[in-house]
Amino acid sequence: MTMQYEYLTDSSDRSLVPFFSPSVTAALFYGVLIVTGVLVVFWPWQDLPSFMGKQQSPLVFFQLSTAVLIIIAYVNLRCGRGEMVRTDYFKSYEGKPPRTFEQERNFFRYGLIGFLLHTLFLLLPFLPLLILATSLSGLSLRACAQACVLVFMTSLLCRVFGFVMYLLGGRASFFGYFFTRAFFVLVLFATAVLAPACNPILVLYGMNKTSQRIDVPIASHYIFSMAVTLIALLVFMLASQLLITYQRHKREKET
Amino acid sequence: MLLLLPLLMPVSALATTISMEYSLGFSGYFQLETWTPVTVVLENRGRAMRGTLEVLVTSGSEYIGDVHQTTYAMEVDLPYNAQRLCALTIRIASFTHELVIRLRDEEQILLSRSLNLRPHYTTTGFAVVVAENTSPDFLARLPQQLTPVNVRPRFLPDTWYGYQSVRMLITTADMLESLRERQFQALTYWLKQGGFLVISAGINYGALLEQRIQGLFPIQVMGHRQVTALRAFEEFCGYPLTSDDPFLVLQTAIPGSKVLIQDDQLPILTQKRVGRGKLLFLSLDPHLPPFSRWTHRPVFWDQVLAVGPSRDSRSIAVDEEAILKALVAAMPVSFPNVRVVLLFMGVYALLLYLLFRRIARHQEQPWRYGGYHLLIGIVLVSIASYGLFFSPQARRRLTYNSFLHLTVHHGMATGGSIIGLYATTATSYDVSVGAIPSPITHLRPPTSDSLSPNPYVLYETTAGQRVRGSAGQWTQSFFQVSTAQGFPLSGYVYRDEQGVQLVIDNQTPYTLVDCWGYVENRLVFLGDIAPHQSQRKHIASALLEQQPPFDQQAGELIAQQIEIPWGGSFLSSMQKALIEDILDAVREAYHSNDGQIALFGWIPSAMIPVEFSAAAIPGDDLTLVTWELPVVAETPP
Repeated sequence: MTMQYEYLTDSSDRSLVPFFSPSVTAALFYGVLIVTGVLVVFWPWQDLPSFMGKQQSPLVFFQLSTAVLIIIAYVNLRCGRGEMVRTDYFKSYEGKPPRTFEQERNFFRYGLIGFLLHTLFLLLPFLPLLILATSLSGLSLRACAQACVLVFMTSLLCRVFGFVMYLLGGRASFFGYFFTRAFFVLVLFATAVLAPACNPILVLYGMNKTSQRIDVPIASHYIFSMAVTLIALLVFMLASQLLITYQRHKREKET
Repeated sequence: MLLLLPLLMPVSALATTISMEYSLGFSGYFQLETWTPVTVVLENRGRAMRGTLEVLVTSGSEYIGDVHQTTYAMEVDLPYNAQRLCALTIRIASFTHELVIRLRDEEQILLSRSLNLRPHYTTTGFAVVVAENTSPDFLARLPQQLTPVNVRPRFLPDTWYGYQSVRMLITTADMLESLRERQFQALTYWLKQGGFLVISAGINYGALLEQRIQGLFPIQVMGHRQVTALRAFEEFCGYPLTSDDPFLVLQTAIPGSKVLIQDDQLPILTQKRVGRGKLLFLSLDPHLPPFSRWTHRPVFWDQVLAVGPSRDSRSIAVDEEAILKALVAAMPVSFPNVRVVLLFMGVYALLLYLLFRRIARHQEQPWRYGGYHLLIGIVLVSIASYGLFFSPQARRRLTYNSFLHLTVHHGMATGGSIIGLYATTATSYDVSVGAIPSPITHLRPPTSDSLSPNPYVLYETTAGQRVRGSAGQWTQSFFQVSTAQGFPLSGYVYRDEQGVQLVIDNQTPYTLVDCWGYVENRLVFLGDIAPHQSQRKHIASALLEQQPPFDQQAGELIAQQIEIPWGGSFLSSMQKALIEDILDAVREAYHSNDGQIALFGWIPSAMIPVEFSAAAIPGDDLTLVTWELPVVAETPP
């Protein structure tokens, strides 16, 4: 039974990214510190009456959730491409665990489950900060949950894309490195100009301000953005599945 | 401006079975910037229906950009073949926009009428004659500085503040008897607060002996006396009232009154104080000869108006802007303490660091050596974040505070309460401001850029008035509620060898805390005044001599000395913010007055209850009471 959950604990170089690898835990810890720093920098030092006088809500929720989004999306991008495992060649030969039984599974039955769980795991440490930021901006827990779902889906998209780049070019590919970063910039920043309705950062801003975009109401803005993200996610998941299936058939033919 | 006919504008139904007739103001006229009665008569000849009657008043200027609508509403129940009279009191600040009166049910507007206000406004107060019919000649002889109107009893206001524009009201006892109970209560309330009521006699004086009139003024009637001339009028207004034929004058006696015109032991014009107002009783019928043909009636009525109640020229007025700013600064919602947040984050970061380090040392079994602890720790810290920060803020999504300033004169307290509503999230509210009808207006928030208020509707219900509105996210709304109520706080001051003795009789159920007295240009702290008792406060002569005359610097020092305790205190915050303005107002009003001593104190609770339909809306209330005590002779009475 333990074998079926090995992707949760496996720390070998055959694993893309184990849950508790030092690099991942370090990234999480520094990520929490960075977000805490963002909270301190953007703390509403003005008193509450001055916000009421201007009828403006503090943007702490937007600032904090954007920081969480950027950090987690980038970490997931690197996790998907396998950049977070140990890269020391010689260390990979030390203390190899004995291999008894290995089984190949398709992406949906193995990789996707791990991706889902790990993306959720990476989001969890930021939850207390998001709850605090939600209270400061006067939003509801529902808005916080919606923001968490948005961050989760966008991060998962980055992760799956990183995995596709890994399948296409491997861990050390320069083009894979370039395209993953380009994808990251495109999804999080370029869409703010090219396709504002899809941009997750603008959605978070709108949720904080509860202001409406001129062309798209905020509720449907969120739904539209999520729908686009989901479609892209499905496309890349399908691509991952096809690539893995292709590689399995290729290995079977060679053997 | 003379008005010839009462303006009743019947509007017939067009396509519905419901018809609407309405009457605006007094005989169709209203004074700008004052509260005005609107009477709507609805008749239903169809199936029973329930709806809402709304009167929409549009104020503001398109040029300034502050056009907004105030809606006054009441629920209406119209059974089959029934007629309902609905009385509302509205405030019209501008005649440029049409007044809209409409009846609606939940789905649609059933009836709507628009009224151009331009022909109906006046800038002067009214002299109201309450009668079914009054001759134009009678109205023409009333004081020219007022707008004389004839109003039928059913169209008199239902609220005391509906009489705001009335300077003098002339009527008879049987007209008063025909008023609805609410109307009579409103009239009585208005009278006690400084209204001026002139009641004249008639041939049938039976109505004077009815319980309602006797409760207003205990008049004793001894029958009629026949006279041919009343020379005493000459002393009052410079001209006698004579007649070729004899005429009847009612013989009356009113205990506790003052006779203004008396002819041969026969009181003709009697004055009685009722609260802060005055009631005059004229013992003859002014609609019959010889009075109705007397050429000097204008002089007489001018003189009558002159003896009316005077407005209190001296009062302690706290700047409204200062009150608003103080309320905003003391609003019962704030951000979490940044030190608590930093401590929380520091503990959380330390917990993560320790758990991650433990996991890093036990890579072979990370879940056993920290993984589950990490998950549990994150969940617990999230719950702590919710409990420490989110939940307190969520409970304060809508909060309020209120400040009432009461001025007490002759056992009556009048004043205005400013209620501030603060919303950190878009929400609606439904708040009651007590069972006694009170005029409610909105105020512009002190630091707001918005020129128009958040939308709201003023509802008249059987249980009192309600304000229903919606507040946007991070907005504040302010309402002012004027009030007048009995307040048994009195006393006197006298000087003896030891100093100044203050006898304060507080028969209210409230403790007045942190009281100050302005005595001989010195400010003296009096401490607390307990309820339901009379107490003495002694101020030694030595203390008064040592203390320099109160000035602005002393006021600043007093404000600096007020400390706000840890955790905040609404009383202390408001005291600190307003004490200088209050002291300046006291000094300005009583600086050179030796006949009265000004006092003020605080009641840390609400006298106008602010009740929300939604449970547990947190808020703070405070009342400032200002009153004066007369200085009497050295020996106590």
